[in-house]
Amino acid sequence: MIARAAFCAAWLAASTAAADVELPKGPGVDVVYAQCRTCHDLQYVRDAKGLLPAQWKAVIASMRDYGYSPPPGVEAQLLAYLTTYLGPDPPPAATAATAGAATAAPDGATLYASNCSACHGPEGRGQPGYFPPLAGNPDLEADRLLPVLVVLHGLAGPIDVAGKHYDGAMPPFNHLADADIAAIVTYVHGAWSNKAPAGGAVDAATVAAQRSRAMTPADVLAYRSHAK
Amino acid sequence: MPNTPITFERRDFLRLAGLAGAAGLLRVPGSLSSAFAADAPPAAGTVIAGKSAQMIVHNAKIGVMETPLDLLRGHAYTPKDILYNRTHFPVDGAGSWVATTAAPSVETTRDWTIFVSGLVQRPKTLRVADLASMPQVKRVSVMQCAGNGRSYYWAKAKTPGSGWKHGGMGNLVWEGVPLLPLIKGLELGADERVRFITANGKDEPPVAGGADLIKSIPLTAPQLADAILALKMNGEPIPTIHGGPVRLIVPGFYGNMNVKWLTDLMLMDQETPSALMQKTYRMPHQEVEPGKFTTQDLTQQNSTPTYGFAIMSVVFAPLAGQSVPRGDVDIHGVAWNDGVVPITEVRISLDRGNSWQAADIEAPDGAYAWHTWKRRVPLTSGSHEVWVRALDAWGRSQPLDGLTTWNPGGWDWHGVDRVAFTVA
Repeated sequence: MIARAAFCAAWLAASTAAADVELPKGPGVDVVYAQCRTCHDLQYVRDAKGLLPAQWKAVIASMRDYGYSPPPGVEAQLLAYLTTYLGPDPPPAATAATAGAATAAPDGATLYASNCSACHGPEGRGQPGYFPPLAGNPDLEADRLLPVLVVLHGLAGPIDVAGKHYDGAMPPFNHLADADIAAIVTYVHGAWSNKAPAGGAVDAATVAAQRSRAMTPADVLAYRSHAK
Repeated sequence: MPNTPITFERRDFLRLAGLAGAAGLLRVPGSLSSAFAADAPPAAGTVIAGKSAQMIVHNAKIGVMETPLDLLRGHAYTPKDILYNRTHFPVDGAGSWVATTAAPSVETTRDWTIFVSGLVQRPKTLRVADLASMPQVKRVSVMQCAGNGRSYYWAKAKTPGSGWKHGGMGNLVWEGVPLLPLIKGLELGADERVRFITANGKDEPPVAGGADLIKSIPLTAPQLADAILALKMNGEPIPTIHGGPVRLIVPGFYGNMNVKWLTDLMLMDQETPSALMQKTYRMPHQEVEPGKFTTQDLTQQNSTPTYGFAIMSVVFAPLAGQSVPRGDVDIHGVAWNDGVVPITEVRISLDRGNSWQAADIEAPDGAYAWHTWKRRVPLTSGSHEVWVRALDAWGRSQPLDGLTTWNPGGWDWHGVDRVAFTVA
C-alpha cells in the first residue's frame, strides 16, 4: 500500500512537472489558464489553433455540455482570446496598450476572481470532493509559504481539508507574475474569515524566491504534510 | 462469424517490417510543426507507467497518446507498451489508479462488480470470478479511436480534438465471455421495449455534474453477436489503462464504444442522454461546411454515432519520406472494416489513381482483425507515391479524397492513404 502510494507520487511528480503548456501571450490568456485545465491540459487548446470563431464558440458550448459552468462574463473573455490568438490569422503584435495593462498595480480580489474562483468559488468555498475550500482552510494559517508554493508549482494527490477528502491535481499558475501571486495570496490570507499566518506579509520578493525552487505538485504535497 | 484459430507466428509479416525498418530519419505526413513547439509534452512513460517513451502524447492530463507507425507495424498483435490510449477523464488525482499498463491489483479484481439492470424484472450482479468461471472465447479485433486520422482533415479545415495520424489503433487478441448468451443466461426478465445495451465504466468526470462516458449500443448491431466481456488482452489480464479488469469488447466498433472498466450494463429502450453520446462522437449524414455547421448543430436526426469502423487501409511500408533501395520494393500494410462482411480486395496505385493493382491479402484472424496486404513492385529511381484502397463484399470502399468526409468533430477518417517516398 505504501509502496503503491510512493510509486503514484513518483509518477505524479514526473508527469505533472512538465505538463504546463505555453500559449501565446495576450489579454485573456490568464483566463484560459484558470478555466481550461480542470479536465484536460492546454495541449488541446494549443493544438486547436486555427479554429474559426464559430468553431471556438462551439467548443465552449461543448464544454458546457460536459459540465463546465463559466462565471458571468468569462465566456466572452475566453472567446476574445481564443479567436484572436488561436484563430487562423497570426496573432497581433503586443501593443503599448496591452503592455501597459499588465503593469497596473495588481488587485488581489480581482485577480482571485479571474484566476481562482472558477474552482475555489467566489466565496472561497470550493466544491466538496472536487476543489478544496480556501475560506477557513487551516493550511493557510499553518504555513506562510504553502499557498505561494501551491500557486507557483501546483499541488497533486490526496489531502483532507476541513473533514473532507480531495484527490485532485491543481496545475501550476507560474504564468502569473510575482506581484500578482503575492496580491492573490495576500487577498486570500485576509478574505472571508481567514487569519493571516505569522511571518509577515507575502510580497513579490517572497514569491520570486519560491519560484526558483524546482518543485513538482507532488513535492508541494510532501511540503504540506511536513508543514502541518 | 467463424472463430478462426489464433496463430502467433507471423514470420512473413515481421520479416517484411524488419526489411523496411532499416531506414534513417522518417518524416511522417501531416506532422504538426507548431510555432509553440518549444515545450514538448512529458514523456509517455511518466503519463502512463509502462508506456514506451516513443509514444506521441496528445494530452498528458488525460493520457491520450498514439503510436508512431514505424513501431506499430512491427507487431502482429500490438503490445501494451506501445498500444495507443484515449481516456476521457484525468489520469491524475482520483483518476491516477488507471495510469499503468499493469493489470489491476488482486483486490481490485476480486472486489469488482458489474451490475446488470435496466428495464428488467431481476437485475443481477456479476463478479470477475463469475466471468472467469464461464467458457472463454477469443476475438481478434482492431481497437481504433474514432478520431484516428483526424489530423488529415486539417488540410481542409481545423477541427478541435487530438491530432491523430494513423497511430490511434492496434490489433489485439481479446478473451472473455460472449455477451449476448451471458445476458440471456442471467434470465433478467427483460422488457420487450428494450432496444439498447447501455454500458458505463468506473471512470467519472472531474467536475460535479459533468458528462459521464456512457455508451448505448443498438441491439440491431450485428457485431453484438460477437461482443464479449473481456478479461484478457494478448493473453494476460487487461492492463488497467486499457480497461482492466473487465472491458466490453464490441469488435468492429470504434474504441469509445468498447467501454473500459465496465461496472454497469443496462438494457434500455432509449439511448443514454449523456452528452458524450448525444453531442459528440457523431458524424453528420451529409457534407457540411466548416464554420457553418458546428458540433453544436449535431442532433440524433442529422447524425450517426461512431459505431462500426469505416473500411480503411494504411501503408506500413514504405513510410512517408523514406528512401528505399533500388529494385523491387515491398509495399505492405493493413486493412480493416466493421467486420459485417468480408474485405474482398486491397488495391494499390503508383500513378496517383490512374491504374490499380491488387495486393495479396493474408488470411486474417477473423473478420474483425487487421488484414495484412502486400505487393512487391519494381520501381525506378526517383520520387514515388503509393495509394491504397480497400473494398468489401458490400462494395463499401474509401473516398479517393478523404477530405470529402470532413465533419466538425474530425471523426471517421477513411480517405485513401497516400505515401510519398523515394527509390534510391
